[in-house]
Amino acid sequence: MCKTKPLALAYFLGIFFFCHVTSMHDAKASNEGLELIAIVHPGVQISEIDHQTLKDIYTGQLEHWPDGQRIHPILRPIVKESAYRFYRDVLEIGPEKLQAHWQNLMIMGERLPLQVVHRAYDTGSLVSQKRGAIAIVERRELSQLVDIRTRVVQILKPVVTVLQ
Amino acid sequence: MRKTIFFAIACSVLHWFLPNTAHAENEAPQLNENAGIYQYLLNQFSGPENESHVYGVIESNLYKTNGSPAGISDAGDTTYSSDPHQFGLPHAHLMLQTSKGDLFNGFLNLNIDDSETIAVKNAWFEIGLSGEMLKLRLGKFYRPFGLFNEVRDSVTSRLSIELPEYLDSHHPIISPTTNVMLHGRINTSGHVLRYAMTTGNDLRAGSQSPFGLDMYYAYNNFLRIGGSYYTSSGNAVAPNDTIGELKESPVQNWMEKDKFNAYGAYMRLKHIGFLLEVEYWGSDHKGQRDVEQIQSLESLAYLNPTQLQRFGLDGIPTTTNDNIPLKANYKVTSYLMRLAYTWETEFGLVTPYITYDRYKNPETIAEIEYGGDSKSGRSEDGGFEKFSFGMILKPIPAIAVKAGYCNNRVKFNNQSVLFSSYILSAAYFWELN
Repeated sequence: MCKTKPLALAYFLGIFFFCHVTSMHDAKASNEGLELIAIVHPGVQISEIDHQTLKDIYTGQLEHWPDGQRIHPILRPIVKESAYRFYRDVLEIGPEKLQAHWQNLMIMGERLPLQVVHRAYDTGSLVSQKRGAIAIVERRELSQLVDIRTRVVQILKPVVTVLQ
Repeated sequence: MRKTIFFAIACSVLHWFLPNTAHAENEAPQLNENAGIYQYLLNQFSGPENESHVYGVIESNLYKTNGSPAGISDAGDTTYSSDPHQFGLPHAHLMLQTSKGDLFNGFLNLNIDDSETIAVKNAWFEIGLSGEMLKLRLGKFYRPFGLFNEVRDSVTSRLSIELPEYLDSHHPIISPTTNVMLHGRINTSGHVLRYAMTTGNDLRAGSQSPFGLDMYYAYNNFLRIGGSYYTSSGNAVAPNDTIGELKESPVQNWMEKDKFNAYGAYMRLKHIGFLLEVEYWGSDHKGQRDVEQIQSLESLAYLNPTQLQRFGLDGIPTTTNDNIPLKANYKVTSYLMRLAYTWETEFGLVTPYITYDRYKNPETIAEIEYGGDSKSGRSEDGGFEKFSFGMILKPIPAIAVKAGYCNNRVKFNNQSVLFSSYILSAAYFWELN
């Protein structure tokens, strides 16, 4: 009887530790899945893109890729955490304000409307067909795009300088 | 000769820049070494990337002015009048935009206003000569003068109901549209420098070449600071040479000729929902009045004592008055300050705002139907102040409901007179799928 108590305690501690480690791993995997990735048309010769360039593209400040191709930004509606993060962390502007800003550009004749596509597969298909296209997907959604010819582009996070 | 030189320079610029925009890409139109510039342009036009979109904006409003000074009674007292409320349709636009390949853009903006005439507000096409750094736009378009001239039709996204006084259709500081523009932007890490050089027919009297230069620096969505300069480069004339309602003309229609420069600067700050806009504009006119037009003005329109004195008139219509000063050198000035705050609510975006607008034009008169303005022309010195506040509700980005109240202060009958107006407006941005 005296021996069973330490064994049971060790058993439960072991289970608890295992569950804790597993959940940590899941959370990490989940965060990795939510990581934002840019996909571009294969003809766009870039391998990485920073937040500022993305912001310039989606706010209509930047119209051409460095090689002269016209940029066709494709937007996804806010139905997922990742899209919310994109607005919050990259664009730093809410969807309503972005839409109003884009309307303003259209009324001035400066830009055609932003294309909004819901599903990851449809987004990938459009990016593969449209010259100069760019869209943002979650990393875990890349598995749905294996049969679509797009170029995957890493999004560089802004460098945070800590003053001491 | 001048046109030939301009054409030769334009061709040289085209030839110099276009090969730099070529790019190697499988499906892209290729610049073949043997093909030359014309084949390249042809490829751009015949390529698969052709997009177009049809959309527009409609704005309907309700406007009323109360207690504006109308005249002086025999006893010397100021008399007042109130206009009945008016429903208006200032904006009913049909817009078509198209892009071809990487280089060409086109835009058509038609408006059917209250007078039920179709006005071509914008009709232009554009070619990118060197990416975003250099573009050539031809046709008819709003010049990028100040913060608001280019966005005068953006009624669903502009955070104001009325345009600033320096762009008011009855006394604008410049003509809103022009015909040729070389423009571009340099964009690095959120810092943007935009420039534009414009010329066109504008209001020129003969073969003059009016010139406009506009430039601004912007940092992300936070700061925009810039300035504009415009010169008529010689004599300009009003679009109609008889006394009557005058729209979108900085030159009065009783001027035989008028040489003018307009200049100014502006700043816009946006931060955490706050918006601050400040503008200053000035315009120096060196005009020459038409004696017959001034005489007909005396017989047709009400002129206050200052205006009679300015035009050398005694208030008794005659055709033999020789005291009319022909020289009309004067300065138009305008200031604008606007503060707004936008926050997101469950009903949509809500933006309360306050605006202070000051405008002074000593040459204008009160009656709109004879080429004047109801506020500036009513004031003894041509100056007035407008303090307005209002609220803009945007339940969805395509709809804007606006309500505003204005208090106008003019100098009339040796007094400072206040009169008010209110405006309610609803605007809708529509698109064809």
